[in-house]
Amino acid sequence: MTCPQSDAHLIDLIHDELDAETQAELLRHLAGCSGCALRFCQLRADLEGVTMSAEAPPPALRRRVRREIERTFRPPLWRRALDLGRRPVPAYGVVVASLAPVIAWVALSFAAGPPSASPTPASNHLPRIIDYDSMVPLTPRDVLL
Amino acid sequence: MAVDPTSDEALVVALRGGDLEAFERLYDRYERRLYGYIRRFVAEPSVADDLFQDVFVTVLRDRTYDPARGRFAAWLFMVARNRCLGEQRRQRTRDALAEELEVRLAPRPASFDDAGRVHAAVAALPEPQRQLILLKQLGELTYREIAGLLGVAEGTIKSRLHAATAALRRLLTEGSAEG
Repeated sequence: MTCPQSDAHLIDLIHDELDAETQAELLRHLAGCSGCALRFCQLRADLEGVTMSAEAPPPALRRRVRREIERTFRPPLWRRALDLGRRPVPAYGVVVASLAPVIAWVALSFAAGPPSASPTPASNHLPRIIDYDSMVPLTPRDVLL
Repeated sequence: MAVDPTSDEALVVALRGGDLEAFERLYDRYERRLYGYIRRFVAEPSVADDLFQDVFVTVLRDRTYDPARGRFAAWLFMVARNRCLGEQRRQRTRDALAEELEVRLAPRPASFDDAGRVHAAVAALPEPQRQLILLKQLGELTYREIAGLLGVAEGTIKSRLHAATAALRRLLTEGSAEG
């Protein structure tokens, strides 16, 4: 393959539009011709630049399009409920569900407090102030005589 | 022959069956390519947004498209091309807008980045060459699909694409020399 022939096929190689025989011949030529190899790299970079410079749409546009699509394709409520029921339950979900009553029982036991043999009022454990009447006004007393 | 469940065509079928996850995947694949394509023809971002939404929704809603008979990308970009050409025609009827478009799409000053340089070079290409390069690069259409879309022979597409890439290279080189 000559350089002008190679040049005509470079773009086809980039776009993967060559038959196997021509492609093999072109690759052999590129392996031995630095000028054509360089042109191939430049061409590929130029075309990749076109792809890479493509602008992305603003994120809000996805929501707009999605809303429109949902209006057309969203399945009816009964269908969605059916799908939810058919959804496979993960293994950890089964474990958590089976342990739930045990967890609830333990939590309630802790909330109720430890069982005691002789229930005594809590006030019995507190220190008591004897002969104190809050209704009697305070009288000044000389402490240092 | 088994159908690849992740192919565009399979996703369109899934979406028609009510699988909205398929929409997300299609959107992820095409948002940049389609929006990038539209923005090369429509300077006004709000108009490009509307056009993008219109094209995407129209193509997905259109039940006349048969995924078994053709690639989704070719269908999508055919609709996009037609809408863009229609929008361009509308723009040209408005004198002020046409003038504004020319200013916006003109090559920018030398101090901007590579993406801007490529953008300006593509914008400076003649309309048919620009269409060809964008359909190939962003649409990722085959020569056969582009030929079908433009109504010309496959060999013609090949030679025109060759000329278009040569012109692009020339513009990019000139842009670099000026920068």
